[in-house]
Amino acid sequence: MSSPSLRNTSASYYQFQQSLDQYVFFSPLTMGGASGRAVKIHKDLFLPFFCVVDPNTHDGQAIIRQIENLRTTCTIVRRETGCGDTRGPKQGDKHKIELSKLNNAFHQVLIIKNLHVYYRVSQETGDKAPSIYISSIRVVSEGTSTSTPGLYESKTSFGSKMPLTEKMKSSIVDGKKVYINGNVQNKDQAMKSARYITNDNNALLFYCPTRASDELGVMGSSVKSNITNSTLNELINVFKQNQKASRGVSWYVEGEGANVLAQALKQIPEDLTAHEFRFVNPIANTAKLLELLTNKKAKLEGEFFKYDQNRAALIYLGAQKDELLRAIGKLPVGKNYDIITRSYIVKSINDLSKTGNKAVNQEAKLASTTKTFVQLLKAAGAYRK
Amino acid sequence: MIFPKNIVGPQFSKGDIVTFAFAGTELALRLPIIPLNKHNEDSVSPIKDFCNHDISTWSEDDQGNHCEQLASQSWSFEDAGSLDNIARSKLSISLVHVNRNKLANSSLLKFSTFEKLVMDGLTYSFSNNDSPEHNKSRFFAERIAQKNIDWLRIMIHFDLEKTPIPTMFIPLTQSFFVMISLEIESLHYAGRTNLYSDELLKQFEADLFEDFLSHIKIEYSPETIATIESLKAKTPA
Repeated sequence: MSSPSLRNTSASYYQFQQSLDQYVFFSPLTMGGASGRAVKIHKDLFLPFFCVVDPNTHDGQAIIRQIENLRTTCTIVRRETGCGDTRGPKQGDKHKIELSKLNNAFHQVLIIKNLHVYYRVSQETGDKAPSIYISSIRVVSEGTSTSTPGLYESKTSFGSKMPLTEKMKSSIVDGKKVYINGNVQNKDQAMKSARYITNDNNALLFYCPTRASDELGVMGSSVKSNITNSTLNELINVFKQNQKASRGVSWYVEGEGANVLAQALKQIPEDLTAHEFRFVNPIANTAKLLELLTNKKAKLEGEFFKYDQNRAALIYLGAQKDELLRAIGKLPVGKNYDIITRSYIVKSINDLSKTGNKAVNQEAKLASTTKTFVQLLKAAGAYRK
Repeated sequence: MIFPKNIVGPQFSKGDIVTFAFAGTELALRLPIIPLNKHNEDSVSPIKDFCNHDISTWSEDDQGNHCEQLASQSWSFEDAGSLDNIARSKLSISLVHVNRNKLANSSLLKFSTFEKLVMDGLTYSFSNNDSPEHNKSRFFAERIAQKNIDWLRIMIHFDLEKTPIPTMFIPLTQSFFVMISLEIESLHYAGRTNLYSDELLKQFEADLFEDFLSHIKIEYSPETIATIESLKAKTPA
């Protein structure tokens, strides 16, 4: 199975024409004819779309409606003639750049909430009228920019059951539980999950803004913004300050936060013998991360892997099941209870990836049935939980 | 309420009416209907009757007062044009039972006692070593005239990284009061600018807060009103 990755936005007209049979109608409303232009989407986008858009939510419905509204697009249809394959071995770099610019001129983008939808308007063989072809999507999460990345602790205040989230003055976390958040809009939400995941009201939070986890994520970009760099520096600093923690540090890493950890670990030369790691719904290359931690002699004991009903995590798990199991196999041999929990983890990864594959199988159906993209998205929704 | 520019989101005037009963007082709130979304939160206390409620199991704040969350709601406001989520808002309604030791023989139904208790509590939590008078101006304490007993409006700087947020303290019974705060934070997507300035959102926060308060109904029983009046009479003019 292919992992839910991005499609090449600068795909040339030639590549596009070659993959015409891969496009399916988006929804029953967009089959073309009386109701406007037809809207088609590349079927490989099924899994990334599944991870980002939930048709049961308000946001998901808004996104689907807006994409359906593309049928009313009244752009002038320019005739694409194709300008060569940018991957040709004989072309110079400058020529390639020029070519990709030409190709990009035919790409249009629709931005709805956290989703960027790239499409072109074109009339191809079999089309009665110019149609919309969605070739790629990209996710940009939103977040508040008021909070700086770093360590936070909870503090109770007058008249409130809900503690406040306050920036820590020191970065000593010896003997504490530290939680690294996934994609959440602000630090209060992150702190709430910190208390829930660690089951400890005094847990500390290492706050990663969405900007950082997006950029370092699986769908990320190669350019790092200032926020991302300062997030990484803060995290590296915490590791440096607590390298010889006598009482140890327990890290709980959720979702996209695993990518931030993976990136920071690359820049820490020392071993992490005093640090223990647990993962909750990691949305990252978990197998590689586990290997990296094993090399640094970090502790991965007990139930270090937890899955908690997260569809994106499930898909990634399904995609890298074999590598993940191999990485777990390479861990140092456990003692006592560890042997039992590890076999339990291996079993649950096996089982979970089967469930993930059921959603994945819906993608395969796209090729064989007459059902549209959104109809199958709703059918696959049964496997969200 | 008419939202500024193209902002769309839940309206308090279309919200659900939720009532909470206390000995001698009834509080009715209009809670917004929150759309189902990944990051939204919509929780309301399942306990509606606090007349003979056992509060000993509740969690305590930093000064030993028992607290319970009546409602905690969090949602995003959208821009009608681009459908971007432009601001995150959080409505928090906390019920506080004041420690009897602190209250001695006094009652929250007397405004001056209530005001002193709240100001002392805030000074303890957000200490600054200032004189009480200076604290009043630091918290922008404002007495809001009401029919029976006045309310206290305060700007609390909960989070030093952000600006102070409006909070209303409303006395309900001898020992219960309710604390309502509303916060709006600007949301940003990487590579896109938010059309709504921080100043506009701050003003929106204040207006929204007033709108929420305008839907609050508090019914005091004749006995409670009598108590309030008798306590007022004792106050030297």
